Amino acid sequence: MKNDPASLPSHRSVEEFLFLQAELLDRRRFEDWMELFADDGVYWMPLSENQTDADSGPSIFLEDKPLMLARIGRLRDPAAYGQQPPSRTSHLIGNVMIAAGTGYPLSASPGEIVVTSRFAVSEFRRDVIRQFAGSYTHHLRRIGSGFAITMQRVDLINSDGLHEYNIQIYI
Amino acid sequence: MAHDHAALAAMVRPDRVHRQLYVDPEIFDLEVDNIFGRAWLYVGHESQVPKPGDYITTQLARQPVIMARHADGAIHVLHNRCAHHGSLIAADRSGCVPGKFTCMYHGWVFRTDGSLVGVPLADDYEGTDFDPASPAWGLQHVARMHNYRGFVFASLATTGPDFTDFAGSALEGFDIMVDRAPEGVEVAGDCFRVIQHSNWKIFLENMFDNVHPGFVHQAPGRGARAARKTWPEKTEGNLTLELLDLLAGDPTLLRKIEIENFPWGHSHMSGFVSPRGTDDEWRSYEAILTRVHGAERTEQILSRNIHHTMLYPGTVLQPSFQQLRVVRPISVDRTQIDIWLFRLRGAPQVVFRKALAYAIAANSPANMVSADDFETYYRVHQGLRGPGSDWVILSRQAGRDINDGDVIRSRVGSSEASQRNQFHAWRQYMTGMDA
Repeated sequence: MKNDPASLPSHRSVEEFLFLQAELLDRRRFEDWMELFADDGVYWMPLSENQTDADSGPSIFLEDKPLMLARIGRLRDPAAYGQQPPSRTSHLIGNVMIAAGTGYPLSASPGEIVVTSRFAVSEFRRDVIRQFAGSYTHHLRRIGSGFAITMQRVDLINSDGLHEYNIQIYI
Repeated sequence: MAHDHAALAAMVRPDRVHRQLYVDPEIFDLEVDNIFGRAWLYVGHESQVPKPGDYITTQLARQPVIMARHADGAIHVLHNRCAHHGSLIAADRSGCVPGKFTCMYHGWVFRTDGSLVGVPLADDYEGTDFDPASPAWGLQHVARMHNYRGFVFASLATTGPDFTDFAGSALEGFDIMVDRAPEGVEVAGDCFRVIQHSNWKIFLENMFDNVHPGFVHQAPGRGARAARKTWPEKTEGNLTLELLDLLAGDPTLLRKIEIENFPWGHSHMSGFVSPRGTDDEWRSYEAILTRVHGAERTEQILSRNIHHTMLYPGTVLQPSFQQLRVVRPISVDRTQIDIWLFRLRGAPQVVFRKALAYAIAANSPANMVSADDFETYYRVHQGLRGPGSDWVILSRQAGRDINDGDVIRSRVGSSEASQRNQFHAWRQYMTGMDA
């Protein structure tokens, strides 16, 4: 479904929302980050950029809110040995476009908008800095003057490449 | 010579092994040639090359190879090396050629069975030993290949046991998985490819270590329990949360697991998470299988819950959830694991959904279980670098295993019988000596 230009939210409000999403992750406010998702929201990182649905083949991440809570529980747990020392992250988001022709055959439901953007994420852990780059496709449900994420699709440019370390953090 | 056979043999004792086996780059080089260069290794599945001209590329020990489907339907495993100057003949991980590979460098052309079609400026070779009709001038075949029910294996050695003797009883894992598919199995999507910063043997040992989950995997287990408590209805039947919870659960559960160990280092481990469902969709699957195999065999196939079938040193199959992990030693402290997911053709979607959930939960590059396993492997490898202490202890349940013909059964799941069996094979490969 195409977004109706007359009823689109301001570009600024959409950007602010995406920046908040990133800032909460970088400040390790994971529970607050999860609350940006609708109750039926999904965080999805496909294995291949041409994946159109999550049911046909493997994905790197496919998490609804219960799985997010499990992951966040692990990240917070003193026995999460892979987080000793913990990851530090820095997310930068740019190229934010509302309702752009994305090429992704993901159509938004009524009451939702599709927003695409680009990210550059750095992660530092145990003397190693890693870079992640790629695109976000957000499906945002409008709730009053704000938004709830129904889908955060994360396409790494190296999604089907060789992964040098386990990805423990949300990109 | 620093590592003669006697010195290598002395590093493996019945209940312990020397730390150098994990961290010495010279021993690693010997392993690549003597173990990976001789064992039967997994190359790929025939469903990856459905049509003539289709190919995949991979590497066996040090040898880059192509697995290609020829015009007559036969599958060939060829050295990925032009017969002329040695360039890779195919550089992508997979693709399709119109019947022929053309070398990018000087335009030599080969058929998908390896034979040479021709070379440009052929008259330049007049008066030399160039012979386009001779197989010696084509792409070379691997020494031996075997297609076992669609799974293609190869050995780079001309001698040694043939594939079925090598795999022996461990083939049951492949049979169970294939027989669960009413119309055969096929690869589903691309594979996960991940690097572990540790020696390849540390990973294989951990596959059969049923004591570590209660220590290593507590954190995601607690996370999963919190999620189930917060959303009891929404999480009903969620396989991922069940798996995370079980892994961190009662250690006595994992002690009940049966481990069977076979010649050449292979092992089976029984499952602790059952893929069997009770809903209508699952029952329709069991009905389909019964039509194919009859009731008795269907029950046999579905009740035999094998968590891991390992063909030492390179292949770990998870028949119950249709995953196959390929172990690729890159260097003494770097190990690549390729993880493939399979679909059971003719089975309802519920079967694939479970396998998919399992793949993401336990095998994806972002899964919550391996995150702490990889940390363990890293710490073990780093700890073993120090020359101060020599031995790695593998004596849990030592002397208490049950010898049953050529099968060694563990008395309880906490036994390190598989690890001891792996090193028994290691010693045979590396020294030619029986332990």
